[in-house]
Amino acid sequence: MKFNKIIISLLLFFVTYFLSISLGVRDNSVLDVFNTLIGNNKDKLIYAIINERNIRTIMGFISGAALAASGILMQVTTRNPISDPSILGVNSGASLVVVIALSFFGISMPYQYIFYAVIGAIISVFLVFCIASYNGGITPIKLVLSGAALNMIYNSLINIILLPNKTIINEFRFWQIGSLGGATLQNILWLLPIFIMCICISFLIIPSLNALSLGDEIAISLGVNVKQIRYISILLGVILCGSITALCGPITFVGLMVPHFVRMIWGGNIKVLLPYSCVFGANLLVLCDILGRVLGGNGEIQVGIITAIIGSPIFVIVARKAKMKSL
Amino acid sequence: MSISEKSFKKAKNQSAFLFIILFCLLFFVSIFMVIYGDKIYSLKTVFKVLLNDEVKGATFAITRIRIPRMIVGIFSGFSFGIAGAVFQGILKNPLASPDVIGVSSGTSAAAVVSILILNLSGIQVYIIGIIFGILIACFILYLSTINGFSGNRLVLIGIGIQAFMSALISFFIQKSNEYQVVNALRWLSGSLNGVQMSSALILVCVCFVCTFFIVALTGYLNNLSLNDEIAISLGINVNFLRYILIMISVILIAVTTSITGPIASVSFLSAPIIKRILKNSNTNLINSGLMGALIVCFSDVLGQNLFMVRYPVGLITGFIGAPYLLYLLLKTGNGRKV
Repeated sequence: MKFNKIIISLLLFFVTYFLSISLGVRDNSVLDVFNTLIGNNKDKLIYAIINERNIRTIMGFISGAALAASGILMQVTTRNPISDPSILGVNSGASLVVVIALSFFGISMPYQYIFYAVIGAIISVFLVFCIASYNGGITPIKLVLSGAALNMIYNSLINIILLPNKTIINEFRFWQIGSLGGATLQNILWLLPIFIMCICISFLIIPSLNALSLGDEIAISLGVNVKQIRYISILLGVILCGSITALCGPITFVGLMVPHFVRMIWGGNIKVLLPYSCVFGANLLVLCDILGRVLGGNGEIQVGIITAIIGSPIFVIVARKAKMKSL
Repeated sequence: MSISEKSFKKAKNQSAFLFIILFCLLFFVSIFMVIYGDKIYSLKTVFKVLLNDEVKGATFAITRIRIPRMIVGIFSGFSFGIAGAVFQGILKNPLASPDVIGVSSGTSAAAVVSILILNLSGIQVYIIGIIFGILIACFILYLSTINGFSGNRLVLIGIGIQAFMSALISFFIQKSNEYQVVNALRWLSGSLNGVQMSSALILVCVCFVCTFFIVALTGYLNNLSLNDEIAISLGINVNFLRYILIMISVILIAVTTSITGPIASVSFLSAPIIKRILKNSNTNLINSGLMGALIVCFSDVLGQNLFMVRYPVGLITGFIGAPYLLYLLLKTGNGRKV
């Protein structure tokens, strides 16, 4: 069974990668792609296109996996099916801080982007939990509503800062809707170590997370330091999602829909859930990106739009199924 | 005179008093909207222009730009305010306003598609907007009643639908021509820029008709709700009337949204403000509408003049509304419904 899953994942990666490299404004034939990959190609244009798409695809894989993992970490720690960084406003908060840093401190390097985005994400997580838990305990509805309200504030602030600058109106849209179009090799090199570190730590704390999902009392009786694990996993989720937002802009709903999907097929054991959510998240994001490129005609539809179109109905379904009590 | 009669009369006087104050405020703000701008015209010039005297420069600016803007500002605010009051009153949830639960953005998406993709204009856009708005409202209500109705579920589902609709709007804007990207903001956050007299007139007519029906129906419903037995014995289906009331408000929202785009927060701010002022739990429709108009006009004046850049009115109202939403959340405890 385990073997099957691995084969499925590998196949999925393989197909998605090939699709992503061959489809777009200019479609490459399978032969061309193959030739280029084994270094037999003389055509400079095709080489350039494939190089560009390679970077983009890898960025997509990393971002998708990171967002899905971040979604799981948040859902498990809050024990709440609708927690997702984008719904809690973490993405937009990170975006806002980057925008502020861009326009007032003049940052330019990827690590600066990541640094400010993570700070923004931490602040917004803190805010959203403070607001939701202010009067009585945290309930899913209060969490989502606080996220929605903060989202509204962040977005107005982003608009207010960026609108005066008519020349960067395209960039302005980038900070409202995530896109993989701006990916560069340098970005990936900065992102990769952070990503690997966070994912490794998340894998290490899987047993504790599993215990946590059984309830606080059981987790404590199993010898888990509940508070510590909560802080660690929220921090990991925030860093993952913040660093992606720094380089791709806010991409929404990935962290919500992928874990639900995987849980539906393979159950809620985090040992299975976490790795395969990463796999599916990575593939989903790249597939959405391909869809955006194919549908966009001569331009392209940002991947954030596609994920929102696919993800929001799933949010509605989850909200509908949620038990009355938990609302 | 009994005590209850006295307090009733007092409440009525209070709301009439509030009506006059709001009306005067609105009057001043709207005059300010006509006078003040890039160029300041004196009241005298404005009167001259209104009396059909040709004043170079001023005539165009006032009749073509500022007056339509003022009219649309007033009536769109009024529509959002009154429709929001109806939604909140019937669904008994301070968050269940058309813009929080996605009816506005749904209509907006329909308008974007019909204008940018189908190349329609004028009355067709309104009709598509209305149909789509009603469908969205029905859909949201249907989804939230399946497992037993709860106001919170409605709001959650509405937030999901809203995210979907905004994504759709972005999608279609990206698909359309490059130069229309600037127009995107209008459909994403609502603005009074570039409104025309013809659409202003349509808005005024629709607003009057719908307001008339809403006020009449609400009065009727209030009388009935005092005594359900009478309603039943008269063979009146109260719930059916409630649906009709919601549909009329959706029509109002749809027409307004297809002219201005979704102006955030107005519909969920107005009624609670009025309630707070009057310290009265009954919804006060006309005053809520006036409050909405005041919010829109005032925000537009702020957005146009206060900053170095002109911001669309939806941005300003969103900025005003979000803290109120946060306040609502902070105020609600665990036991009480949001």
